[in-house]
Amino acid sequence: MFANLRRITESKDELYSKLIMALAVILLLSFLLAFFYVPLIRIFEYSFTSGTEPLGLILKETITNKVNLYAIGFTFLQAFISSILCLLIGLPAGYFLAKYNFKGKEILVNLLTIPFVLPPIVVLAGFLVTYGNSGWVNTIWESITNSTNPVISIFGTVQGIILAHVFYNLSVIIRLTIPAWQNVDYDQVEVSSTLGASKFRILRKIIAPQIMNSIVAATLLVFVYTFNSFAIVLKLASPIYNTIEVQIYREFKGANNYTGASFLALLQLILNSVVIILYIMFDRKSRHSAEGKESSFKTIKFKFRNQNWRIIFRNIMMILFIILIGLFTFLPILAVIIRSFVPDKTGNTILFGYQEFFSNKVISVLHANPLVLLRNTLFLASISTLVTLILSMIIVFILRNRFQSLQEYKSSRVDNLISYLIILPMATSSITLATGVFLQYGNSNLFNTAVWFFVIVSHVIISIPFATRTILSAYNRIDVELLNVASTLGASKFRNFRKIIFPMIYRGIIVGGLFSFAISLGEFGATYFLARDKFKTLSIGIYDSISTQTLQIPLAMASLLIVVTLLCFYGIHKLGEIELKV
Amino acid sequence: MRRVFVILILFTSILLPVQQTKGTTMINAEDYSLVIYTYESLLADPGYDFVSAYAAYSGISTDSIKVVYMEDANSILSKAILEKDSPTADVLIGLDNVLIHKAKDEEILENYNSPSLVNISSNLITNLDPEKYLLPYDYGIIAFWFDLNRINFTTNPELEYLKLSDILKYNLDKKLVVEDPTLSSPGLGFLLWTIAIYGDPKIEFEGVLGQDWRDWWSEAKKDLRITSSWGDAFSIYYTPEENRPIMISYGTSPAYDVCHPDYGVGEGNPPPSAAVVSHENPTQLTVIMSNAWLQIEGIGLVKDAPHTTEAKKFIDWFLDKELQDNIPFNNWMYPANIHAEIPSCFANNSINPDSIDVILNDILTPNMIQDNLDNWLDDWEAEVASFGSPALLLFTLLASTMVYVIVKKRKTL
Repeated sequence: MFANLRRITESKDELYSKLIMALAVILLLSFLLAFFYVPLIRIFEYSFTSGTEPLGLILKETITNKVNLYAIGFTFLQAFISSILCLLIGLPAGYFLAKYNFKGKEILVNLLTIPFVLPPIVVLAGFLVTYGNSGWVNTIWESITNSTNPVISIFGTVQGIILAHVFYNLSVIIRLTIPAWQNVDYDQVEVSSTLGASKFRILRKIIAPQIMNSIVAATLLVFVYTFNSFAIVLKLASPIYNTIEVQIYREFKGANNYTGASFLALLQLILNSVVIILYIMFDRKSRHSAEGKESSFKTIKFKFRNQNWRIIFRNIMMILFIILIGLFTFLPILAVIIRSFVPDKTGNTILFGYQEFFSNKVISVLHANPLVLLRNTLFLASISTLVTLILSMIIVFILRNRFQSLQEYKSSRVDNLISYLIILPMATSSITLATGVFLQYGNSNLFNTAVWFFVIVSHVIISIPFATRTILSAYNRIDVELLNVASTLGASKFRNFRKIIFPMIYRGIIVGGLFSFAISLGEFGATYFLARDKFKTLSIGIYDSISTQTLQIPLAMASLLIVVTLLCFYGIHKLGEIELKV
Repeated sequence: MRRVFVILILFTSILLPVQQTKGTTMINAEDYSLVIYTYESLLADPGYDFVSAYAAYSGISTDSIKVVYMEDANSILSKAILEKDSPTADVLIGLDNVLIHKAKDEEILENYNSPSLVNISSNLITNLDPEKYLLPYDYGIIAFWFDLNRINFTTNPELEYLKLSDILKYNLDKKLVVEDPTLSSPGLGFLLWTIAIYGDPKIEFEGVLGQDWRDWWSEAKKDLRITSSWGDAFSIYYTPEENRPIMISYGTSPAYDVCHPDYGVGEGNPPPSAAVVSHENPTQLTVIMSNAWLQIEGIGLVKDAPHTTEAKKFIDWFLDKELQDNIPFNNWMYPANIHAEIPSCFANNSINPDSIDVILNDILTPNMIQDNLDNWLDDWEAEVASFGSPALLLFTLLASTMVYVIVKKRKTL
């Protein structure tokens, strides 16, 4: 009798878990289908069915158009140079941060990640004050050298774009190469050193093969991010230099050429997919090589005493290098905050920007009072964080529970297809996404009445890869043995989840949430494309209010965004690590 | 599939109530007696509340009038084209004498012979749209606008009788901000200005000088800053860190700096900025003639509009003196109504289009624009677009070979 009862409860438990799983899968699929795959198919449809002109002609025009060709070429060029430069600077910095231990190292690594989620508009403002023609750097340079030629000019130039891209993505390389350096098998290094190998030979034969996969993967990731750059290129150098992303926007908004824009979006999607697949290949390899290895890596406490002069010199150089990276990262951010307190119009007080912001007064160019923008921004960010978290957790559970058991008896072709469909959102740039959503829903009632809904949807799709990744890495740290033991001892699945899984991943969930909150706070491309004039966020408010005759108001808004982002990062720092990988 | 829909509906219904409490606007034509699409800066600075004024005039409540503010006139047009089968809007405000062609091609407007047109200068009607699909409400010329604190007639005497070629000759292009003609209407005005002055041999159009407009742009593009909107251009113009004190704006812009109640210095004080047009002559003439491109903004009735009667009433009122009096100090343009009051501060500090010797729109006619605009914009884009320097290309090639070699070698290990 008891055995019978047990079976019933077990099957009930099983049934519930199946039901919950089915609901979760349906929720996830319907979301992705409605707001990602269908809009994407819409882009396909637009690029292959057109109005008046014959299709072939339009495609030919799009691909042979000099402006588009330049944009395609330039996209590759700048992405390549930016990622190589990031690598050249980030790799040694990663080594230093991996090898040496010092006070505040953790927080430094987290702080260096801030640019990654800073709103591009804020970065542009910071760049202007720091590197503008009469900005800080140029002013200092001109007073030192007594020349009138600026040392760096960031507008309408390639170096401006690259500088901004390095600023954005340096942290990606640094963060991803730290574990690579830590996973190097230093026993082998010692052995070969004892056997008389030169330092260069050790680097080439022992270290390089071990870190190469991680390096290539990290570089490919930076390549993808810079390949899809929008706001930076649009504001710094368009129309002289365009990326494909900007060109899609220009075709769409300026020329109303939906077919051409869709075709470019498709092309971009294909190119992105190739790079992302390459990235995943290398990432897998790097994880394979790290697996099952007992790390013999030991961090060294950073100190000056009892060293000979060569080591001291090397240490000083390293510290200088890190300080330079810190300056490069924090100067534009500080510049925004400092400049927001500088009165630029007679009669303005130091706090003018902030007073205007909190005065609850409608600013005429915004058609709204700034507090509404703040409310909108926080509203968007909270809702999209919530949705992102729910969906990411579903993805994690599917990947870890269902998908793994499926993999055992499934053909590899289906497997590959499913992996690709999961990767696809990562390969889709924000403008492509917004274009698809606009083409699919732009005419619908919901779009007209509640455009914020679609903005949330695009923010969710943009941040899902990051949140999923963060939660997944927390999930992977769960001890499977523990789960098995609990099951054997009769714990239900729900109990398992409540008592073991959840306590072990909740930090990961919060970190993922904070991260997507920060992403949504600063998201510019999709918001700008979809809701520029209907549902304003702070980023768009900054962009608009720049024409109010004072930089203090927009920079006050920018400073607020920076502060909120900093708070998010403080939370992340306290709770764990974020994953910049997708 | 049904389950999917159920989930979707559940999902959206969870979110929808939030939206109502947030007070976001709903646009459902039936909920309103008038829906207007316009750009966000219309009568916005310092601000004239034309909705309340019209509500008071016509007796309908302000809540029944919905104004949708868009980024710019281009967006109004795109939105109206997208909706042309089932229009939501009744009135479009802000399309100009260039966008009108596209609007007419797409047949989104209905022609309307408003009784108020008797007070509108007939010259403007002919230059904007003789068929009256779009009715002029204000106008102004495109001009170089510069900050007198940083550049003036003493430091740069060439500004007095500026020619477009002087921009290149005196390196003023290093100090100039222009807007992207594919994305912005003053930018487009400036492109047409250069075309009208230099001419286009491709279509055998002489212009004033009988040269090629592309040459001017190809020489200037290295040093110009080109922005995507007027707002962007202004932020550059306004920020000393940028060191670009000249921008393409309107002949009325200096008036803003003097007469604006919050930002203006007040009449009688030295004006902080000034505007100039260009002064080219056909070769044989020795007198100096001023040339300028005229922008005329119009209001139009949407074809198959949901509320045609109310829309017509609104258009009549919009062209009448009550509203037109507010154009100079809130929209910073010259009102189209000939009886509208033009305050002396405004008149003294702006370039009156009527004082210009040659209005370039007369040379570059609406028909030519209609036929060639797309090609011109394509040519312009191709002229300014650049791939990057050859040195960088070489660097890329070298580096990519290096990477390839390393990866290849690594594979064979």
